[in-house]
Amino acid sequence: VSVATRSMEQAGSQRLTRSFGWVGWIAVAVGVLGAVAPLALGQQPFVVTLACRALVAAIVALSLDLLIGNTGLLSFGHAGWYGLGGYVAGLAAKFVSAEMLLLLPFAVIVTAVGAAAIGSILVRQIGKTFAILTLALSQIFYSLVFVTASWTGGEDGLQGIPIATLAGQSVFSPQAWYWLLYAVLVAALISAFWLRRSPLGRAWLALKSNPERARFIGIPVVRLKLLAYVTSAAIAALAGALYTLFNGAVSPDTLSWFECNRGKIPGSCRFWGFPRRD
Amino acid sequence: LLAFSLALNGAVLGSILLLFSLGLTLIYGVGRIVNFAHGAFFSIGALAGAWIAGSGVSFWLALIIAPILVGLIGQVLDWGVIARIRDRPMVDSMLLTFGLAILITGVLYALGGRGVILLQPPRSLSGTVRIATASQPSYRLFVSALAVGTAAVLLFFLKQSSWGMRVRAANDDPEMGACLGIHRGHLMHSVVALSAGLAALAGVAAAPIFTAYATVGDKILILAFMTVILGGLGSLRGAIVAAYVVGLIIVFGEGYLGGQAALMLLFVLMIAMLIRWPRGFFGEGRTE
Repeated sequence: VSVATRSMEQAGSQRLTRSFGWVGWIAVAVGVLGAVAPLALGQQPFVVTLACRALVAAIVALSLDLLIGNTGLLSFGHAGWYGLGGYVAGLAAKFVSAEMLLLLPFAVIVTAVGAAAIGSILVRQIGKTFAILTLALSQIFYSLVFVTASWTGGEDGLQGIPIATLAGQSVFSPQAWYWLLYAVLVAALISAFWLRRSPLGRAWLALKSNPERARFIGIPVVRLKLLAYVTSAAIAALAGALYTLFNGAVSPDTLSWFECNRGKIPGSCRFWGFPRRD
Repeated sequence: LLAFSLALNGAVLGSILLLFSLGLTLIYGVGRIVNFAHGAFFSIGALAGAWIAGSGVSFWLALIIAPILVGLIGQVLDWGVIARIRDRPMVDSMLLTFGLAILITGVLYALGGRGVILLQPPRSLSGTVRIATASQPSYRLFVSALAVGTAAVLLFFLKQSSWGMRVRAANDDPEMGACLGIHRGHLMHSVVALSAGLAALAGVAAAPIFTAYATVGDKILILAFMTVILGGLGSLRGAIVAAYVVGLIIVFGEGYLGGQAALMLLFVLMIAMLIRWPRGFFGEGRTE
């Protein structure tokens, strides 16, 4: 058995190296092209700003894919975590410090704690209930903004967020934001790939394709689902925090399930999540 | 005094929710589809009713035409789109109906549903009625009576007619039903059409209370999801009780805690309920 396993592993790793052959190089080429794009677009700040929004959307799509593509949990409520990260970062920037090295980890940690608390109940539900509850959750966050309107500005949104600084340097040109967001996206992308090949990623795939069997071979199903949910929520919050600082304001619309999921749900499906039903 | 008038309002909201979530439950029960487009049916109903009544037709006619129209739309959507993914995993149907909801909202926006339209209740129902110590607009009482009456007729049909028997059979045990020659696909067309019509009826009837715009169904949809989860997915009895429970919780929450806190209260209660009784009030809900 062990010989067979080893030869399968070898075949697998050969396939991986071979596939890196051209897919990988194309990926690298696209990556480099994306990195130098703002140089060519320097005269058109509108396009660069638009590209920044697209990058934020891509990070959120990636976070959703981490959850849906890996574990098959369908979340309709990621707008909630995205918005929570945005509001936490916005409020902290306004009242504490606009230093991103502090703000971003803070927003991510707050969201991770919240997601762990709520997720520990949600991930125990069956697929349909989970999807419905996540949808309701984003609606709760939406109403939370209005309940705490004296802090969050309610309908008008949170305004007057100071220009963010990165290690003391203030970041405000669209190009600088582009590179920052791009770096985050690439880092998230690479770590998502790495995660998927890691034992953890394999275990996630296992409980996506057959949760019962996964449980029988000793995979802690609930704990791994929760881990996927928290990780995914944290990345969404990171995207939300970055977007708030980039935009200089955040409105309750970011939390609305309809407005926010519009672009993201389809995005995450077309990515490498769904077609791979292994 | 406040409590009594809140209870009346809760009953009105509960009746609208009842009309709306019965269809949601039926679609889930027969087709195992969580219909995220149900709120969109409500919105079409409300807007169509407002437009029809706005073009000079009487309110009563609009109350009849709009649900039939939306029922037809539902039938066409089921035949053309939802039936195509009948045997696919649950995730696909959720994404599909979610996409349908976005599409319908977009179409409504394009047709001019961005603004809020106020549908006037008919003159004969524009007064108020005093019940004990609280006075209620008589239109609200009419809506409750309409909803309860429609739900009663629907339940009667489900109990007595051959169509109802087939629906209940497919709901309780789809495999056994199929063995007895119940064609679930055909049954689904009528169930979706009926459910869409009920949602639209709720939409038109509620339009003088909630007004009409392209996303009016969204909040109702969230409440209805809470309703079907509290009642147990696929349980009709559970949905009926849960509709009033949700209606009362929302109205009392709004009355005593302020508008948005009510939803959070409901959510917390629902989570508690899911931990303790995941199968809903009557223990009939599905957890597969």
